[in-house]
Amino acid sequence: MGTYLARRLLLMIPTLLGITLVTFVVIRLAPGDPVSAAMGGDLQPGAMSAEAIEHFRREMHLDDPVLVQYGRWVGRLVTLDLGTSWRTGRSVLEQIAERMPVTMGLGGAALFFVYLLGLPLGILSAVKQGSASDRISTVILFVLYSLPSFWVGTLAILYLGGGKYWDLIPVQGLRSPGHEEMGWIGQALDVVWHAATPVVLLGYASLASVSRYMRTGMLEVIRQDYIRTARAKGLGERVVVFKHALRNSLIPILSHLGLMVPFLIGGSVIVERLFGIPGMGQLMFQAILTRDYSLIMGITTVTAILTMLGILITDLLYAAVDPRISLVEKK
Amino acid sequence: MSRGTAQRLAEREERSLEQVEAGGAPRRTRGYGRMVWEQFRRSKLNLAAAALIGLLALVAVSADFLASDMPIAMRWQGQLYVLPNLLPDAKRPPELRRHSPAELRALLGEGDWALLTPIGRGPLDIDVTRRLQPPSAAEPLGTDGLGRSVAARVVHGSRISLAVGVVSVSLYVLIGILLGALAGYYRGWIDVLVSRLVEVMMVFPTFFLILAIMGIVERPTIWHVMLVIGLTGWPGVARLIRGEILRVRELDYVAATRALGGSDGRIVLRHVIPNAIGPVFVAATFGVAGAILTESSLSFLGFGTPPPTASWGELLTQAYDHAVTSGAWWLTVFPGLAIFLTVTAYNLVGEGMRDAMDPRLRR
Repeated sequence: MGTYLARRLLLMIPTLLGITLVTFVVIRLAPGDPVSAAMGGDLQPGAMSAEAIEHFRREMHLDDPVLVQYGRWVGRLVTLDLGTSWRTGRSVLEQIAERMPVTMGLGGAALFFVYLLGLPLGILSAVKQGSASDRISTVILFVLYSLPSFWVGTLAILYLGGGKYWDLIPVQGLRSPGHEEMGWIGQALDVVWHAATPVVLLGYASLASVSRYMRTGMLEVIRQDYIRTARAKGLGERVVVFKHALRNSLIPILSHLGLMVPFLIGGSVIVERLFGIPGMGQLMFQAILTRDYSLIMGITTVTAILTMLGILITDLLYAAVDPRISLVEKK
Repeated sequence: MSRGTAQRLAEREERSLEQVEAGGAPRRTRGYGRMVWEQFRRSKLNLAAAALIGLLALVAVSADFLASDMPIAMRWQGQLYVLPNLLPDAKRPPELRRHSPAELRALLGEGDWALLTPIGRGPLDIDVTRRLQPPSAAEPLGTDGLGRSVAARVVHGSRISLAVGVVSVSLYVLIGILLGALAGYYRGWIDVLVSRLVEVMMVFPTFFLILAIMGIVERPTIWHVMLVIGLTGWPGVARLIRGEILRVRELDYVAATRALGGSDGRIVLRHVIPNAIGPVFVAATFGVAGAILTESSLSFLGFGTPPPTASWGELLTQAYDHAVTSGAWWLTVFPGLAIFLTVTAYNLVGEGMRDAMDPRLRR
């Protein structure tokens, strides 16, 4: 087990280097750099003296070959130094650490929401295969899957956000103006109240795939001999489904869990922007707007590590729930 | 004709004769494509979705005939204008520039006539005196924050969506087939390299990368959007093709081709890829839906199709900017509906094709 874990963690290193190298090369080779972004996108000739530009570029080592720059970046990464944001002058790691809990919280809540709703729907579809409720839930989930979240979000803000129509949901940030004066229960409720819509927006598109995975897994298990045996010995349908079938059909769902991480992180840009939530998505958005290279690299690195950890945990859970899978090679 | 062929023909003749004698008509085998199509068309929903895709393509192709501030044809002051709606902006006759079909019609004198487009306004035609007007007879889908016609912008936006969807997916299907074929057929170091790369791309929060590239390019164009989606989307296809080639390359008929002296290229192109192309089609159809979503998300965030080009995502950005203050629901509802219907249509057709190809579901 220990060796397996060590090997997997070591294998992350080449993947991480691959991801960061691709990002690094791509953003350095793309036309445009922080100097021109600082000048508001297009650098007008004469807007900044040639010496000043030269000084700036030299200070940021922008004229070195890309691979040399990358090597320097990796060298600092080894000491866990992700550099400083050139815009704010603050440490990248510090900025990410500040924003990460928000995005992780939203993502975790979205995962919870998706599985809470998606798993029962999938079980229901499988147990009542071909029934009206199976077909209706399939259609509804399919529609949700095709609805772009930024559209639904805009609609929610337009109709429910307290403009010309109803005023039902908060649309800005995670805290009400009087947040500081509330007791801790009030503060928690306030945050939950603000986060509810973003969490639903982040998650609803995945309901379809979760319930589909669950449905397929359940259908496969329910045809197996041991289920027939369970029925034959007179067990009730409820016990057969929830005690015997459910456990095994949950296994394929785990592989889905690993895929959700990059999806949730990508989705956070749109949701955090729509609702003005200060998370990693928002930070990435600002970093890109200002071409803040070290910040972009830092966020990419951290999200890649998170994703890989997600996949690793999935694989470990696989082995934990399925005795047929062994992580340690038998000799 | 070689002797072998003649002999085979004779054998076939004999076999069908046997069948006739046995009381059955000679059985004609259906082609695979036909079989899939017959499965596909069993569902009315599949057919409706395919028809919607066709309709959208038609709208995109004929956008200039549906919405233009120029007439399709017009006779005015003794001069005949033919298809000024197809001219690039700079070459359009300035004397015909008007902000509405009514104004254009008002020009007409004795013996003049005009054939206008149904919407009668172009997607770029700004008229600040008519900002944020709700839908009316003159403006079927209302106007945006610069007084442009939402109907015209939705119609022309379909071009962007369709072009991005088709071009970027074609690009990544090509890359995916090439890399997947190389990896699966030659194995060895190239397989290791491609498989690692696929793994890296799968772990990647791709949307971040796309966003980063679009944000850093100095003057992004629609081509950048296509290129970026195309260059990041290939891992799925590569994995599919690689798996299929690994399965097929050891089969007898491939060995037979090799024994007959078929080159590697011939084996892969003529025998292996045709066998794997079905799932690739399915992936590509879903891919178009995904690419359209990605493009509109990018445009929504302000990193996609650069203004003033009409795109559905950009209209939704305006909708967001105006949402709480003006209550301009038409800015939100129509472009969103356009994205939703297009994405649903492609997803439905993809789903339908996948089911039609699944032998377990064949009836």
